[in-house]
Amino acid sequence: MDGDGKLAALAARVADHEAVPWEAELPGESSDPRIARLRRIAELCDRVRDPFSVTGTLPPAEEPEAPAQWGGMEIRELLGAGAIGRVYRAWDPALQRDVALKLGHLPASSFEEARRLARVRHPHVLQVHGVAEHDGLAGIWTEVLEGESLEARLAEDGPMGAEEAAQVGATLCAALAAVHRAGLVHRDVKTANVVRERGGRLVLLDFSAAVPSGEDLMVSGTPQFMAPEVLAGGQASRASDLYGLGVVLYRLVTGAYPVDAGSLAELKTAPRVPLRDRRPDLPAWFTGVVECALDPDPARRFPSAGAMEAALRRGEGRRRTWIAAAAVALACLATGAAVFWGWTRERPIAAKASVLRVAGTTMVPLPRGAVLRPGDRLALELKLRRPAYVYVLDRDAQGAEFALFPLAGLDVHNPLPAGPRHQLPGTMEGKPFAWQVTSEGRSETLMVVVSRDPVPELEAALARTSAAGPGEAFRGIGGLVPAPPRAPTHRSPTEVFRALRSRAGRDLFAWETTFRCAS
Amino acid sequence: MAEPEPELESTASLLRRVTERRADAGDELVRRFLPPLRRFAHRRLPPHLRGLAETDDLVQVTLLRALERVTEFESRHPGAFLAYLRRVLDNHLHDLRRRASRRPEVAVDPEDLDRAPAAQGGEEAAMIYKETLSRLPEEDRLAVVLRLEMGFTHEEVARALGLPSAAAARMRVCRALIRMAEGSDGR
Repeated sequence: MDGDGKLAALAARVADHEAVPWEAELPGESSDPRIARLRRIAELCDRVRDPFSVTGTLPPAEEPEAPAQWGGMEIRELLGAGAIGRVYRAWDPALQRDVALKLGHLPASSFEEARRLARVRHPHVLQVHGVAEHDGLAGIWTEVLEGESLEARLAEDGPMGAEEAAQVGATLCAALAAVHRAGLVHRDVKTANVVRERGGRLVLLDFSAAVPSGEDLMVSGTPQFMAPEVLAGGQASRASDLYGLGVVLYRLVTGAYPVDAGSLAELKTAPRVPLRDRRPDLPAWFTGVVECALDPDPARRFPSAGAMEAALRRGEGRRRTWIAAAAVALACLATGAAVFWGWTRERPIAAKASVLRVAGTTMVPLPRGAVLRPGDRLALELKLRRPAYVYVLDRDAQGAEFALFPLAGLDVHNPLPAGPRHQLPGTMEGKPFAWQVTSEGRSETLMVVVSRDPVPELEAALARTSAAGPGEAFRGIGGLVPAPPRAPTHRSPTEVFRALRSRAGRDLFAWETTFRCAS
Repeated sequence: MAEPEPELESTASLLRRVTERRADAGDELVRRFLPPLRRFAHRRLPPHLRGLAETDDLVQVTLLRALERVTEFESRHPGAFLAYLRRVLDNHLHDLRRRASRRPEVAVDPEDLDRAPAAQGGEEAAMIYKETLSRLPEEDRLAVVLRLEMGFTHEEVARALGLPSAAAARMRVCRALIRMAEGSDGR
């Protein structure tokens, strides 16, 4: 074989990743220098391609040498590495403090992004001090954080309760709102990108600009935080940031992800596990907020981070909410003798209604004006003479309204048949449910409408109530059927209720009762 | 040689379509690059870390995020796109290794050829390699990088470059290697 033929044959073996006995092919110094070069290329590529299977002694990897200083800052130690470079702790003489300095090669657009981020001033967004280029190296410097990520905290302490998660969520919403206001999209909202500092301050880290001291910042390496539209190849947006935040909240209270998937293909197609299935004990307002943020349709998520924050704070602050709560035993109804009569008029359709408090395995009728406490579980007992459409709503002292019946998911639907003892909210998948008082303070007014015919205006008002604030979603969830026609004017459920009461008659009754709430 | 398969779309064309927000183009790129990039990532980790499920996710996320950012910077050329992917992936893998063990690694950190070991004439080899590689036309350069550095199969190289067959990809790598071996001779 001539030199060219030999070179071509060797090149083919290199191309096929074949082991070449170079010593045999390269006898002595007089051999073809082209073959010597091919050998070096092949050996080099082998090491690059398969660094851990190369036999023989290799020198230890050399860390790229950290520059002693950059842009007047004194570099002190390596903190970590991210997508675009390495992060060092450095002393900034201008600020007279340590900063986290990320050095690398930034694409021009990221440079601009970092500049805009540097203009974001928010207590819960990592403070970017500046971005510049020196000696051909781009650098971003930020505050140094001392703490651990929410992901690390989750691993240590396990899932949180709804209240704590809601506080975290509301804080992150505020942080995201600041980022969005600056015209930026975060793109990478996840538990690993939120640090809780030792003092308790929560900080949303930006894409890859910083590393908390004492902990490696690492991509959590999971596509589970990515919104479906991004997984499908679409662009990240504010709505996809809110989806990420929804996953964060879901994860904080369950330790799991909304979609169980082992691969990307599965992630795209597998159904989401409703939060309620994993944590039936969580208050409905919280579940509602999370499910709204996780809606596959970006247009149906919260319109803004601020709106999501409001929903979280509303739920968190308004502890006096009524929710369909954990299953309770409704077996013992022996004491069901109602002591409270709600109707003040002739009542051919509804004979009797009473509010019951669940006490252990018994139900105790509540008199008007009874004092409720957080944790109390309530049910409504109704005696119907004829089949009827029943609606139950609640208004608290602050005027917030909730649909309590009918609710999607319950086994009991309108119209209710005639019968001596209907228990509402009834059962869900065969398990008895009650409304739970999860809050404290002031008062709650329970309103009940019983009608021979469907009441479209009330259904519409209730549907709007649930749509207006996902915190209340569980009560009214868009599952009311038939689909409510759009009312020409948007009256609140209470207004509709009062209008109904004024025209109550033989076939329609409207009744309300108010309870005081103790702390 | 095998006859051309007209339905095989080049990476450049797919990237162009990704920038037009065509979801199917992104899917195709993921299908095309995920398996070889996974293998690449696994080989970059010491054996005791290769079982981490995290690695698989890492590759997926890197790929998806790269696609997401295609419109934002000049990565629409297959070469730039792959270089970006590789750099990001390497940084993440470096971090994974560092996290798993604070001890220095007894292996080449392949993040950058500039850091090839000085032993065995490594520095000189790296220089020659980089220099001669840079003189190749982009398609040839990519073929060498994908096949020899990243361990794509010939078929995967063909798909990545929009070549008609695995044999065509192999031929391209061979020719590029010969040119590189000859190139520094000053011819």
